[in-house]
Amino acid sequence: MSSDIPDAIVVTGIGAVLPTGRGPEALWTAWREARPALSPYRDPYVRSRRITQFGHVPDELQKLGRDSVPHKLRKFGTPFTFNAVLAAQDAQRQAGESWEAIPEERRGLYVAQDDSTDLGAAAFTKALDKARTDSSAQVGADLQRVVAEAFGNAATFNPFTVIRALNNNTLALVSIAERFRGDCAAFVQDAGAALSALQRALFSLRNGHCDTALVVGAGSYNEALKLAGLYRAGQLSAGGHGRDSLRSFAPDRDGTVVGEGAVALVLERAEDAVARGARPLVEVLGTRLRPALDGGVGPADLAESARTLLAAHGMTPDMLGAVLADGKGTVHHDTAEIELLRTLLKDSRVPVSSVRPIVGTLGAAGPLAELALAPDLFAAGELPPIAHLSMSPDEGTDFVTGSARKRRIDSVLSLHSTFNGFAGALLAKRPHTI
Amino acid sequence: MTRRVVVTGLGAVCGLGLDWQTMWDGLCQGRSAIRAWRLPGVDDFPVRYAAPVDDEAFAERYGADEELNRPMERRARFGLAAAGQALADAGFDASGTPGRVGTAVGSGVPERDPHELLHAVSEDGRPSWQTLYARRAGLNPASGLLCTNDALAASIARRHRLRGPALNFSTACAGAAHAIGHGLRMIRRGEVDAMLVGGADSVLNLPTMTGLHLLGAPSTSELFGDRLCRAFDRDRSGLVAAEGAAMLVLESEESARRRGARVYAELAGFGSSLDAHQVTAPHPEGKGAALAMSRALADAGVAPEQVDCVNAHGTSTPLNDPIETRAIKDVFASGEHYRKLAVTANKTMLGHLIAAAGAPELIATVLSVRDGVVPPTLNLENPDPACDLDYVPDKARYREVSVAVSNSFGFGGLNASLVVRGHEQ
Repeated sequence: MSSDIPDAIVVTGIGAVLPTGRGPEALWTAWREARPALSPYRDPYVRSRRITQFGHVPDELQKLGRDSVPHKLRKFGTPFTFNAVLAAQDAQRQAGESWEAIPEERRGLYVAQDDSTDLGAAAFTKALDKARTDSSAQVGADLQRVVAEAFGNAATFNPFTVIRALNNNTLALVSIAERFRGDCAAFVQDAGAALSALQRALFSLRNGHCDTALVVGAGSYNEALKLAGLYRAGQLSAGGHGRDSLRSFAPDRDGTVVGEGAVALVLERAEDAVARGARPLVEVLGTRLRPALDGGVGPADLAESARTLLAAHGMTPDMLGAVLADGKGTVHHDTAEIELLRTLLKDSRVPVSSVRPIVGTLGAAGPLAELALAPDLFAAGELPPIAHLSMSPDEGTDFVTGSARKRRIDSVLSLHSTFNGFAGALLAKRPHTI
Repeated sequence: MTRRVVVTGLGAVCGLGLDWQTMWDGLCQGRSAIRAWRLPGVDDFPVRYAAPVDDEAFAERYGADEELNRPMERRARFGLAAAGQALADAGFDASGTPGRVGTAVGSGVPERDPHELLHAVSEDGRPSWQTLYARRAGLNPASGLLCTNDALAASIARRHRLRGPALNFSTACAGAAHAIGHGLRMIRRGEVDAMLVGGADSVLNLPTMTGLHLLGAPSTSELFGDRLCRAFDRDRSGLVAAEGAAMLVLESEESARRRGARVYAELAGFGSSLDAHQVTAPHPEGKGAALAMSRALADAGVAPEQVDCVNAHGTSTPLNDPIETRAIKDVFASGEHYRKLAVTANKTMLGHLIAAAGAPELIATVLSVRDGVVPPTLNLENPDPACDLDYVPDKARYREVSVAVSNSFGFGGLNASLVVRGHEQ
């Protein structure tokens, strides 16, 4: 493994607002205890018998998120952008007081966001409600009348809806609330967005475009049309096992359970972190994101892509301490991932686990949540098992089942795929100072 | 590794035309795509002008293209068409370069069909998934997964077998400029050899236009007819929305030379910044905009005095234009160089393509450098004292343009600037 490369980038602060609670420790504990944070789907505007389980951020934590945002900014945000601000504040706090001395113009902000939940059915219905329109007999028949009533003026349609609908909403709110004026980027491509945001942050730090980078992943799948689209595509579990319904790699898996959350990471050059007395928590080596299965690129190509990522850092697959698989729990994704893992790891006995059954499919926050777990993996020297999985789905790959695998872990590769056909990987290792 | 990056392919679909040549000809001739417009199904919608793509002409040109006629959002259709044009223009075949050619696009708000939203409303006036599902036969087939924000990047990668990184930027009206700028960085440092970059957007639908209208962004004036987009004019009253897409092929100079590719210009620099001020208003002193321009110039290794032309964001909104003017004056203050700049606002002819806006405007900037022409700012009839630069009013100006800057700024205080320089073959 390469060491002490001059452009080493480390994480010095982590914030997380997830279905498991606040901070990465809550996620780590839930994973170790095999305690899923999935719960029955609920929404003030949507009722469904088919959307059964969801990874909801607890109400009290949502309230904390809202309270963390300056009052004048709240009208521009959505619950998940509020969560992002809270996660950002926690990450900066952990990065230490000396971090605040970095000039605002040198603070880069790189954001991964899910598709907006606004300009969706809920916003539309709020407008209809306010217009006191009974649309039942008119659905699709008298569009002009309904529209005139619901969309006609600011009294029925929130004037900031389009701001909330913009997918740079998280970038805007975090930058204003937390005073970031530097280099920036924002992405929307499910979990792939976080890989892109991380890669651009690494690039900007290594090339001097900023002196610190806050990488934020935030979002929610809780939008009626989005959920309908996912269900229609056969991606969602029927929920027959209640909170245990996301069954990564299990023979009885029948789909994923989507959720919501936000994770923020403070990144900086290792020498800068050490110079200001900050504690590096994990070194981020790099990410890869590629168009996947639909693009004529199969598991073997994706395994090669991951191998290339490892090679760029002087590593081979057998040197890995652990692999965190995506494990969405859909028949299609998991089958492809099993083949990818077999091709990549080839009897190396590198243990493979997944946190997905605990926290659900998080979209933009997902890869960052797994990166946030790395310090605990390094410190505890154990890899918790894949919840609900009693038998390895593949003889050639060491899926961790039953109990945690004790071993020294110095590096972690996490794998990710998106609903729109992208696949990627994220490589991190133990920083040299711990 | 630091490599020079050049532009070798262009593609455009917009109100001015369905290819970059027609668009550029229109810009140079001072033709405007802005016309009287009605939101389909809502005759009394207060926004009366826009710059739509000519659907009939598009169907005539692309009617035989099966892939472009699958159910998809308008922006994706325009984006795919522009991507195909740009790759063909560059003579680029990505199949021999596995993983070394990627794509980066800017996109905005997913297109929501109001019928789809109505279908989601149940009998008791609340959205119900069951109702939606039961009525799924009536749903817009472009809905659901197909209208996720990254659908265009995925479609481009699939169609053209681009196996390198595929990035979907979402930074509002600076989206395309950010996609282009980060594409530049990726090639320059050797992450890839080439990138297809640009943006696509269509906001000319009921939900998004309503949202923009309630925010007060588009002009509702009918005083000036199709001369409504009046960037830097005293009587400007808001943006004029447009739709379309534009794409560029960027590649390393070595790659272009190896292929014997025609080079339009060098993309020399990129700078980005955040205002950290307000969500709906730019920094009053234009600090973020100035920082983006300064960074782009430094990135290109260009002194402000070397710049001949600024392709302004120029939205025709009351706030943007004087603040952008102030930012330009700050950046080019030395020797009052701002007095020598030709500043142009393409939106007076193209309208505002929102997330895609930076892409056609970069194409215009590239062609200004190549051809020595600065397109005019139309409808600048009554100058605003707060906007006191040379905006090239009314008619295109023929002058040498060695270095030019293109600006894009977005809601939320996001700024991106790109620097284009002439390239000797």
